[in-house]
Amino acid sequence: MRNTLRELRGERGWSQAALAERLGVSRQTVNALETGRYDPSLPLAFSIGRLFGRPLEQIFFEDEP
Amino acid sequence: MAGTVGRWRALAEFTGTMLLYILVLVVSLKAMPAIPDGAARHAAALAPMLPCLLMVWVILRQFRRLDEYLRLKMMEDIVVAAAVTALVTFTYGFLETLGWPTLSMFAVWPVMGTAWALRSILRGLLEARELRRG
Repeated sequence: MRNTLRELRGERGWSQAALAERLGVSRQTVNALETGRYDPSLPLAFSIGRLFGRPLEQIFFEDEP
Repeated sequence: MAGTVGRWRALAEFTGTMLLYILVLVVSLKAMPAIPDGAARHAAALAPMLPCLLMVWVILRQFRRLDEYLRLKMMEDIVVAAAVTALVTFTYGFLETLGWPTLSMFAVWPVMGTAWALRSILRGLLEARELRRG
């Protein structure tokens, strides 16, 4: 899956560490999400959606087939 | 901040349990020669396993403190370490049938521990490189 996490974080001027702190996860996890190396669980995806005030489908996208 | 506190707590629990293990091991080794063969001697020989059980609990606590991504990565480390251990111990087991020296069961854990540590270090280095890239 692709996502717009890096862009959303950049709009708010947050570092990866700051986003990690807000989500209650490690910086490694934020980095893995942003670089597409890890797809979050539903609870974490919903936390991300809540934090940025957006529905999940505006943050996460399926890879092109 | 919470992560730092968690790390220090985990380190304190791990260090305390290791020190307890060493203490019980030393007392057990010193006491055993004076204990006649029987249940008490067996109990003395197995006493170091009590802090080992405590260590299992410490590791489980640390595992549950990790977030979902790090937990997945740690699981992968353990799977790789278990696979390496299976390959190494079975390979050596077949060599023993050719007359190679029979090794103690104590040799198994160092193999798995080393494989686990090497895999964790390698993954840590790769993660650090990814973090530097941002």
